[in-house]
Amino acid sequence: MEFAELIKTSRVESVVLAGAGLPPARGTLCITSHHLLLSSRPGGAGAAATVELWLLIRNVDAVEKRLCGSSGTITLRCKDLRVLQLEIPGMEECLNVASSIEALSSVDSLMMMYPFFYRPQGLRLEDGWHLFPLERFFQCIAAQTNQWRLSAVNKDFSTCPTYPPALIVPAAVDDGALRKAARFRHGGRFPVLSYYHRKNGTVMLRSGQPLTGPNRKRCPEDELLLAAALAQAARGFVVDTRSLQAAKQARMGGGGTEPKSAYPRWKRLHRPLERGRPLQESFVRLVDACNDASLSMDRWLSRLESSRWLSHVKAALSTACLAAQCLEREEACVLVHGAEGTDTTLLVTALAQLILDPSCRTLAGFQGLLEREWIQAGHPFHVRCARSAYSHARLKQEAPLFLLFLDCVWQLGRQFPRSLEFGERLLLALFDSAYASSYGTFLGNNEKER
Amino acid sequence: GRGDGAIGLSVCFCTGELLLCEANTVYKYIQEDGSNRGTYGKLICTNFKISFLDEDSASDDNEPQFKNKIIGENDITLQCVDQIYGVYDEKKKLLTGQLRKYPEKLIIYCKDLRVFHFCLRYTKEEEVKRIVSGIVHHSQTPKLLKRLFLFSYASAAPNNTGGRNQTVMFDTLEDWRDELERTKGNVKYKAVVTNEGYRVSEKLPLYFVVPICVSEESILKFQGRGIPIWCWSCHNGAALLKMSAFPKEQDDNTSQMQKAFLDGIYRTISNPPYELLKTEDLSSSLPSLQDIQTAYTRFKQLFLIDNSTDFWATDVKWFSLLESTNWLEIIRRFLKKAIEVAECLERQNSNVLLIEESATDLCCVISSLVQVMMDSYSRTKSGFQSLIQKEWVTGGHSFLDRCNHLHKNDKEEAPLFLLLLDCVWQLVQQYPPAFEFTETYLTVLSDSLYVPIFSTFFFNSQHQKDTNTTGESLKTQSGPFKFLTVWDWSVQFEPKAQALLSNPLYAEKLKPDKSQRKTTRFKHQRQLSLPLTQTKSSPKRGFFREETDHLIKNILGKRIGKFIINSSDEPHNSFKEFYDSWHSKPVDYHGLLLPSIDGPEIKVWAQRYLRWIPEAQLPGGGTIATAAKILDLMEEVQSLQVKMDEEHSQAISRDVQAVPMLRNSARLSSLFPFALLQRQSIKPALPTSTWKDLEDEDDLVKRDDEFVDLSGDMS
Repeated sequence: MEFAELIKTSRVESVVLAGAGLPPARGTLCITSHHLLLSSRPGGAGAAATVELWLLIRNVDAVEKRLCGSSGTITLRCKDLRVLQLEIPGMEECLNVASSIEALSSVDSLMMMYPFFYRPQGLRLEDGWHLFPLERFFQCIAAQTNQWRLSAVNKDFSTCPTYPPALIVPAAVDDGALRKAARFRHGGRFPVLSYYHRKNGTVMLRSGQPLTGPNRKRCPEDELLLAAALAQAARGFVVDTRSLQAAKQARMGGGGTEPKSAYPRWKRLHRPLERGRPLQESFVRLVDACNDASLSMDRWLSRLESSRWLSHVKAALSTACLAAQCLEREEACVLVHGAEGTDTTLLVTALAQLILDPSCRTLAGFQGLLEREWIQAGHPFHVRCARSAYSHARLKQEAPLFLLFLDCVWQLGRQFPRSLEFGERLLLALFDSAYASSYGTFLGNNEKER
Repeated sequence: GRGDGAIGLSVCFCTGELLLCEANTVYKYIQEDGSNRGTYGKLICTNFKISFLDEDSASDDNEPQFKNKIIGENDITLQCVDQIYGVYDEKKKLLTGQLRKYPEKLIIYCKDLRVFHFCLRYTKEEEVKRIVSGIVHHSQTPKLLKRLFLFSYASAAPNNTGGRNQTVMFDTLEDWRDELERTKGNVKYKAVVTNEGYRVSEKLPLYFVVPICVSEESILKFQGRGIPIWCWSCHNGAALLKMSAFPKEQDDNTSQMQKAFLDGIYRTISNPPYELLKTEDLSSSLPSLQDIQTAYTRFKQLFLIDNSTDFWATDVKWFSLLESTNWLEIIRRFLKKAIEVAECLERQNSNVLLIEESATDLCCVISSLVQVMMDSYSRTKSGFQSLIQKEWVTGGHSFLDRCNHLHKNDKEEAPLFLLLLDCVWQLVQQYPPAFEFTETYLTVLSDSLYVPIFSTFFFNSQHQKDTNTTGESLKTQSGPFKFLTVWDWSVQFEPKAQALLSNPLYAEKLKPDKSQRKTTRFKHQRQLSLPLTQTKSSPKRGFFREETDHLIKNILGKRIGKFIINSSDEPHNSFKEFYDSWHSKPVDYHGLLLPSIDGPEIKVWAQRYLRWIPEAQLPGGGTIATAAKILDLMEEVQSLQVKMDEEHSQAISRDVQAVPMLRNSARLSSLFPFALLQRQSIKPALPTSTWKDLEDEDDLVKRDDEFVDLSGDMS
């Protein structure tokens, strides 16, 4: 495929751009393979052109066109929730521009994404990618205890396609047992270390659900792994991010939970967190409510409540608090999982660390946390963030879990303004770049694809 | 003074305070956790307050630092009592008049939103009868004005000088003339003495201001009705006026006469030199007093909760409950109306005449709000206090009736002054640097509504105050009463506590060497719309060029904007344009200040409404954490400044304004300074709303694998 095939009109003159809070600007609109540009000459024909818009087409979530007479208006609803209007003279141009943007914004192939083409000046490709290696994280733990080791069992992504090559596991469990345990866990996501609680010497683990199935299968290696993880700690808590009912139902599909008999020192706590489509719909409703531009936002509060977004925020935070509390106050170990172990699981483990550990609240620490608990841990950014709140496209696997995480962090920052080294702007930038970016950090679904 | 010795426990009595009844071994619950923890003590009722005297007065060592000198932690003034409930066999019953049965528990809901639970099970029956009927009688039944504690206090302490502070009281002709001069209204408006001896009306103040062309006869003709009364003049000469309308008249003749009279008045004040006149009939465009009262009654109920179970129960449906009270929507509508009025004055350059039947209710809210938004003097402490004097106290707002202090007529009750404070709070939280006072100031001001030591909020009009001050002094023939004014904050607070009423981050004007008046003039010049100033002053100053740029951008923006909206000059559009164009520019803290009135921007005044609810606190969190840090830095800068001055061997000792209470911000509560009054409690180190599911460690261990629905909101 060539980008040129998708671009029907690459240049239109005298287009007026308008957006909320911006003075309208008139200029030349250009469409390139990845960008939409609008430049104007405010000082008259001879003056230097000012670029009024430089928009990554990947950022466009929905395109709406309205024709009237010989001209048309295109409304671009972006994934970062901006809404822009382009007034285009000429009906044909308008239709061409709209369909070009539509086609370019729905290119789904990873290799065609802009980060593969973007080469900022002075780029050294290796810089930045290895700022937060798991090895260094492990060294900090190894300085405290010898109960844990760095395993290369997933070196070629064969044991678990969504895990990174290096993983931290109990020292007492060998790679063979890990492979067997992986077969017993959803997506091969066997329990691995997520956080080491220095003061109590306890750990937080995360995994996929155990594949007990309707026949209540067991796996001695998995049981061994979890027993080894406990070490001296008297007990552990399994924080299941599904309701008891949902967990039981999962058995019919081959999943399930850890039965008490097989894991005697682990106690299960169910904290149902919303995921998938209901969460995406909640996000859409929230954005709808926020975009009610009429000054009479009479129904703001009830629309906010009925979007249920804040109750998802609250549920996520209180589940993370629960996990943190088990580690800090109960001096117990914690295993967090839901079904796949790539969504709500990561939400809880990442938030719990932010709550527990001041070092995660520094800028560098927070970036390390994102790298460990979201990117390397295999949150499927590509499919979860394919569409934002405006898209009319049929939803597939979109769900704003990462946004929910950022919102929870923002709530913590607002409640305790001096606890975070970074500000709201970082969170906004992260949201924007998770959905569309010139950089490859959030590209793809897991380390294997990257 | 101290008590008269009749009471064993130490109790601070105000001068003129008399003990009416008392009961021993009363058990006061610590409302915090809904458990039965509490303390024994004595419950007393005086002619001033209801008070609980703790038996173990060990509280000396952790004395709250933000302390009211008059009202202690366990004191409730009689006027502060909202409702009293008795508990009979676990059932709550409202107590109003005569009681046949006496309850085992007494719950007192206060107007400052405190809730007290007293257990009377261990008290002698005789004492229960006396204290319960005493409290109900003195706080809930109709009262004579002269029975207010105000009078006992003033006659017992005749030497109160009532130290006059910077607040302008507006009870002299001079005050009005000064205000006219300050706002440059004196060209077209005059202060009149027509009402001396209350010849015109008892509702009007002794002195007030009218357009120069209005004659004494017209003022007298309908007892001041139909006369435009001046509130304030804008820098461009446009004035804010108010008028009490004629009541609906059955008689055709009379109404014809009134109509002709009004036409005449409108004609005179619409001609030059007067600007165009816009009239605003507030009673038709704003919620009625009844609506406001209903909304507030529902709203406050959300915060008058008995225990933490109640709290978590409301938490689930918080937003829709909040919305259904309609209180925030009422705030939004008043703010919006005030912006509309400001737009007429500022941009359309026309006079605005607010019309209401009495011109002392909705008018007060709107005219005060407009001035707070448009006149930065009203955003200083003394300016705000003078504004309250001008529009409310002297202006004739019926505080006695609206607060129902005397329990004469429940139908007259309406929290208009609280509404104003809440609207101003919205502005304060949106633009903190624009205000010299803090939200704490507004909170303690709202509390002062119920302290019958100050005359400020305890009369319906200046006439009522005057007649009761100079009138037949009952007991003593010591001449006129000398009442205190609430603006003397030293009566209630020590200097240390008073420091919390001033905003340390107030963006003061950088004109230190000019006198007050000069500064004001300078301010007005800056506010002038630029086309006028452009020709007058030379554009060589940096800031000025910036403003011109702004203007140009603004004009350009407008033109294109209009081009897009098809240039319709419909009033709504002009409002929206005004609002949007103001919000697209950076804020000048000393210029016009328009609140954001989008739904998400209107918030609950947490400090006032949530301050006694421990569940709503964030230990070590909230905006106070940032404020405390900034104060630390300021202190550091100041001390470095002192050091520098010393280095330069200047013997000037500077006042280092330290607020020692703010030290150690990690221990402050987000509801500071009020939450300090709460006793230390055993709280989880981690904030978690599921804590109630996990009472203690053992509990968590003993439980089976379980499914706990997250506070029920997931269903």
